[in-house]
Amino acid sequence: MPYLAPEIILTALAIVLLLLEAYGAISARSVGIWSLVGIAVAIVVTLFTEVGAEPMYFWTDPNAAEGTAGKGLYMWDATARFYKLFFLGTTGLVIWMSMESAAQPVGPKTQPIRAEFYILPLFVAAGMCLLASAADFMVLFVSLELVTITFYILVAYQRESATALEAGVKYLILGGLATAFLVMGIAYVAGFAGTTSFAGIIAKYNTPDHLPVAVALGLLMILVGFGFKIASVPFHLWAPDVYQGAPTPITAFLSVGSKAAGFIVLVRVLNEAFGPTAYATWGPALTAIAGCSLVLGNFAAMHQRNIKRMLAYSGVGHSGFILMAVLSGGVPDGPGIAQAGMTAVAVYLATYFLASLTAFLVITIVSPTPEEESIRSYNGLWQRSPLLAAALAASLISLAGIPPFAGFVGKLGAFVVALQFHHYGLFFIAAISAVAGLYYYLGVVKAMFWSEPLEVTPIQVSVPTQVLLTILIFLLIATGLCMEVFAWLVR
Amino acid sequence: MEPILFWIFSLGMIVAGVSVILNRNPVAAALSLAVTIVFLALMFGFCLGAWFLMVIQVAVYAGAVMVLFLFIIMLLDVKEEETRTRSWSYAVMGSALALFMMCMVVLVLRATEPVKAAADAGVPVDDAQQIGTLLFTKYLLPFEITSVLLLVAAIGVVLLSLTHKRESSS
Repeated sequence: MPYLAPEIILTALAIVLLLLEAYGAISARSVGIWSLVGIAVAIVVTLFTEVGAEPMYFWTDPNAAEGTAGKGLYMWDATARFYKLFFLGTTGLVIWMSMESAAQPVGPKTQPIRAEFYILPLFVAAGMCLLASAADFMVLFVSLELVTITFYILVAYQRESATALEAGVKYLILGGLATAFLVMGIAYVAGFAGTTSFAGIIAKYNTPDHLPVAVALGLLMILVGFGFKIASVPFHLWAPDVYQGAPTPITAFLSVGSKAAGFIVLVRVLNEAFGPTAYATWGPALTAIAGCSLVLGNFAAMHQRNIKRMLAYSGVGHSGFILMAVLSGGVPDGPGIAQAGMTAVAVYLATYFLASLTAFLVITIVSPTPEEESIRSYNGLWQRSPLLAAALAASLISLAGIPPFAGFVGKLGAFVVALQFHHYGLFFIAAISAVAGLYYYLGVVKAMFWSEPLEVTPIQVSVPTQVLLTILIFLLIATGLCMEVFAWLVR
Repeated sequence: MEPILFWIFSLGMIVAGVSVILNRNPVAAALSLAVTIVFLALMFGFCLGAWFLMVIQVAVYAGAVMVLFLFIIMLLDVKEEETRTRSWSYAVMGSALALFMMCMVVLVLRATEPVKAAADAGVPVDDAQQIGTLLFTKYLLPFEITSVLLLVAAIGVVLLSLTHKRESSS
């Protein structure tokens, strides 16, 4: 079945590599290379799997209730394909970063990068690909747990260092709490709907009346669980410490992959499991969360001295912008979320993917140890390595949302959706927050180009990474200039 | 008969649950948790007719999970835990939060039409064969994902505990 191919390829490859590594037949570096090859194959297969006009369903239940027949646990449509490619690309770049950091000299308390560090991201990728296709709360929950539990291990990987241990414990406890809320919410919804299938729930509750109170409470609890994944206020408390303590490639994975996974399940649930009438429940809640995330994320980022903490807070702010695009529901007889909103979310995530992963790739190279993660270490980076400075500048300016870089397109989409759906207050808050964002992003750019370096030794970058960085800079500008690329992507 | 059993089991659960929180000794707290779980299992069986779930609840939670808890408690210093003073602010905050959650759940359940227990609706629920068939047919995909999840958890335990050993031996 080609529709489940990425998940099967990734899981099978991960198990084979684990066995090979266990019997000592393969070095850690070649495990990394094989993982990259596997991801490339999965990307090609996904790219060439056809998408029909209507979503296709698998594992259908022949005894399903009226109106839900022919809808199963796993769905395949254009959205699923886009997010699968997104997650596969993220995982590929994360493994690339891990190989880059493995090549660097290790400190006394740093663990060397072992083969498992390349294999576990494959399991995460498989889980994320499943999330993109989940059409039932059963599949959603176990896939989300596969992703989260693998992240617990990866975050605590450098367990000899106190910050990594703190990050691991915080992520474990708060992640457990979020899972408890999620499963409680699912229990309420499934208990009253009598089914865990999205199609079954929407068939029962897509009536002009309001949701029953218990189902609304369940939906809100589910939103708490997802709010943790996307690191939105007030469920963001773990983000700064975990981003700082985790190995830099894993920070990148959390900030791009885990966030996008949270958003795909969020839009799927709001779209497939709940209709437009549920907007009365989730609309106000998400508006408040988006507003708080925008303000707190962007203003707290200003005072950070550690670049990973700064990106953590700015990531909270980006969640606010994306939520603004999610808030496009409530149209009577329409879908849960309007097509314009779905497209804006996808485009924003795509630009965030490019900019954020470029930034983290540069951070992996420039800051191999926690001591070098302060923003002062980036003073005069232009003199030490023009390519790295240019790449980081391009990604930060893109994150700030200045044209002609990709991030501008993403922000534009979110703002347009906010106007279209009359969220004027949110629009106003977002505009102020975007301006506040300029301050701290451009502060780093200024330090890189116009401050004296702390040390002058040039930074060596391997040739493949030089090529990759050049491609990423090109993409950041090219996608910003011709927006049709995105129209093609989410088609 | 059933209402009486319900009240016995729920009172038992509440008493045991409160004693989990109030007990200074971690072993006593863990045992109280086991009692809570057993009462919950009895409730599944006698009040809802879900006998299979009752057995699973006892085997998995009272058996496996509690043994794991006790192992971890063995590694902690029990005496130190006993002498630790309690923070009043946490107690007040925690009680307020618990009260808030309880009010919310009560209000919500009062406002909603109760769902019939599956046994009353005429659906046999406790049939182990039925659950097994469902797991291997309709829910095969989540079942397989769970197996991968367990594999990852095992790798993680080995990876995170082995790190230390290799580091000290070298």
